[in-house]
Amino acid sequence: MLGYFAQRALTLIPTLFAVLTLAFVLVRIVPGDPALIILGDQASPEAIARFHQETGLDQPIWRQYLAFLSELAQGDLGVSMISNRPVLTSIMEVLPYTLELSFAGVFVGVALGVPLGVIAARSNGGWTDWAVRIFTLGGLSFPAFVSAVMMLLVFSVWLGWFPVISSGKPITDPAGRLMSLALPAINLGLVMMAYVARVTRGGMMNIMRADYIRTARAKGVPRRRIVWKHALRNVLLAVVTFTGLYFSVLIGNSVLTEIVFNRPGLGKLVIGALERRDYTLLQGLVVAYAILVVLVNALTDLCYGVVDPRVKTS
Amino acid sequence: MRRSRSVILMLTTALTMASAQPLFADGVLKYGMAAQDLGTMDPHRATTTPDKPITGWLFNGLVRFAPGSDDIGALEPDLAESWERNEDGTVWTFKLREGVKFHQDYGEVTAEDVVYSLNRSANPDSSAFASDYDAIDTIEAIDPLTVRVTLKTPVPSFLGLVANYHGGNIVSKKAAEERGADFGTQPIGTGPFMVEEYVPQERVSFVANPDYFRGAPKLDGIEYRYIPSDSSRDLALQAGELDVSYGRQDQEWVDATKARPGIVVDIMRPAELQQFHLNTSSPPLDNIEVRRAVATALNRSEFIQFVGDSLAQPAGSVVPKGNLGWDDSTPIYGEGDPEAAAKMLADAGFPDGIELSMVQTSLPTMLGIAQVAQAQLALAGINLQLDVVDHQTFHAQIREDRSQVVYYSAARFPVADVFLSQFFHSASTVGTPTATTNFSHCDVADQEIESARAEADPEKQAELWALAQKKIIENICAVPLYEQLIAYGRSEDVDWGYDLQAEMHLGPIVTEMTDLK
Repeated sequence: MLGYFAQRALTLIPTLFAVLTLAFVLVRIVPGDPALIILGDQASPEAIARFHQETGLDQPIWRQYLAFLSELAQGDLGVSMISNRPVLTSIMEVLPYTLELSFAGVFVGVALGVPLGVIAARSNGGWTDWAVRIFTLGGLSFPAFVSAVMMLLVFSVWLGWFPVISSGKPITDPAGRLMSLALPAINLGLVMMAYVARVTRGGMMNIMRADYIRTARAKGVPRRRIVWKHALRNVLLAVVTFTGLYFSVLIGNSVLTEIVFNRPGLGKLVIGALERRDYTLLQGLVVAYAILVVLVNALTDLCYGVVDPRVKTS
Repeated sequence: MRRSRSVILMLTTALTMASAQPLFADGVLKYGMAAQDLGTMDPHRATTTPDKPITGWLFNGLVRFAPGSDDIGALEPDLAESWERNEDGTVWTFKLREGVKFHQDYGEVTAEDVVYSLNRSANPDSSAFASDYDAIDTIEAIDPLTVRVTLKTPVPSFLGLVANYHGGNIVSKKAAEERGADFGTQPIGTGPFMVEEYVPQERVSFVANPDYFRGAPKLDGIEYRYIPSDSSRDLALQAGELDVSYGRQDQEWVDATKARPGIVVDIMRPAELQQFHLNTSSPPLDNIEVRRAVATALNRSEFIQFVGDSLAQPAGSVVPKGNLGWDDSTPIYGEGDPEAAAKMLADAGFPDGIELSMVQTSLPTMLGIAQVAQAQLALAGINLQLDVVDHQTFHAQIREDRSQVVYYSAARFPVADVFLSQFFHSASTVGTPTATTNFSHCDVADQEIESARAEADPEKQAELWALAQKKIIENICAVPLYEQLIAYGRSEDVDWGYDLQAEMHLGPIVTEMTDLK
């Protein structure tokens, strides 16, 4: 298992390198100038030139890239061009919020999606099946930012159950932190729930026709046990695969969710860095995202082992 | 079944209990701003709309704009209790108020701090506004409470440069030297509120300065929250989680917000003048008759209709209304007469119309205006090609002289000299080494702008400024469309404590008199 992860980490290096190079070049090719953000639109040409000199932006791009790589090799992501704060600090400050939101979103998606899918499959064509299918179609059709605003309107403004501004509760205030996590996590999880329910439903319908299920039935195994143990366990493999793949979509949706619910997080950081042409922060964020995606892939592999013992032995 | 019911009950109770707790302490004003994060609180570096209001309650100048006013003719004593000038306005002596304390343990304000601050503002390495202070020769501390500023040449409305705005804000020398680059997040001033905590991407918290020289503030503090999403800010204002919120700058928002119980809309100056700058060196716009056709085809009253009466006011000149030296005696075109415009084009040798290219920002409010203009010009056979790009790309490309027509929205320090110099003096032409924002390559009023700058007699100065505006308008370097005011939403419980008509900091500032009912 350890050897497997070491191998994984090695394959990460060229991927990371390619992603980084692309990000480094792209952010610099896009027109725009951090100097104008810092110095304002009345800035004099001398002041802009001085800023470029101080930040190394007057150097040819390959030289900037080499400087960046040598810093990165020492584990240094540099400082933000706009705020002058270390990039690593900025990322680490908000990373817990993004992780918390992503995992809570996955939790909502799986914990609701799987049972819904199973229930729909069991009633196959019955009214619960229809209800679940219509409900999940709704989940699929709502863009994350629309559902977010609607949830805020209903649960925060009309009912007053949750705060509108859900950001920044310290870990020492677990109740407050949970309250501020609830709506964003549900918003993120709902779309995923719809997919998970459909994947589960489809898988269940197939597997329920399998020979071993018929055998189990013939043996007189209770129906509940057949569905939840014999069949579902096999369907879960598909769910785990889907969840791993869906994670990158989740990251995209979490950006919108973070903006609407005003949660701190990597997504908000990315948007801010893009708007302000904060090259160094953007580069750092690309590194962070790349590592995150690779880790999630590894975690997915680990889950296979838990769900399906056959994976471990092979 | 029973177990699940009791779980639901427990959850509901927990939720109710959690939401029943007050979210914020009383007496703290919650101020929502449309931004991702703080840029800087360093007053000599703060150039963006979201950063400016903060400097309004952290710092003082030697003099100040009265709260709620943008009248540069009515500046009041601030850190200076009195001042005098020599005959030609080149030597200014300020007597400081005694016993004014900086925040925390940074001691009393002395002439040394003032000398340090103004030198800092004049230094391009530490200030975004250095060029405003070019005319300063020396700044001396005569004694601990007296400062003398000597100018190389008289400056129009010099007092404005030592007001509580941009470079005029006075910082603690000791704190600025100690903190260096961190001064942007840990600033030390003399204002009614001081920084308590900065949480990146989220908020800056301020507490009342009990030693404020005008008296302790009525409020306990301010929570300045960064909420980029317009709809989230609106919902938070409705839910009472914000007391003040930066509005969406259009009529629809104003009407919807006004209609909500307990919420009012504050509309204030300074107005940003919206202008189309026409590149006078790029064919076919190098032909004044073609520019005249464009200016005639544009319809100013339609823009005001489009934006809405509350937020738009008519433009009167190529500098914003209310600027010292503003003059509206020359008619500014924008009649919206497509037939006349088409005829002008035909007479100029373009019977089949013309095509103009324009790099345009994707900011929704500005894009809407450009599209209205596109439709108006089309009626006269002028095909305005919009190349829509994101806002930073727009700023970069128009400075590379890549747009024949530049739609720019701006307010500047309210003295005509600043606006005229930056937008219409040939030294500011884009693409040149001294470029700022002269997109039209206008050079017809250089002499008047320079003479007015050096003119000591206010009446003659005003005449020169008026003449400069006349020449620029008659040469059609730019077509003023309308002026855009600023809108904020506010809970009825907030009492600013002053008459909010205008705010140089582009957002209402919180003073010692501001209160929550």
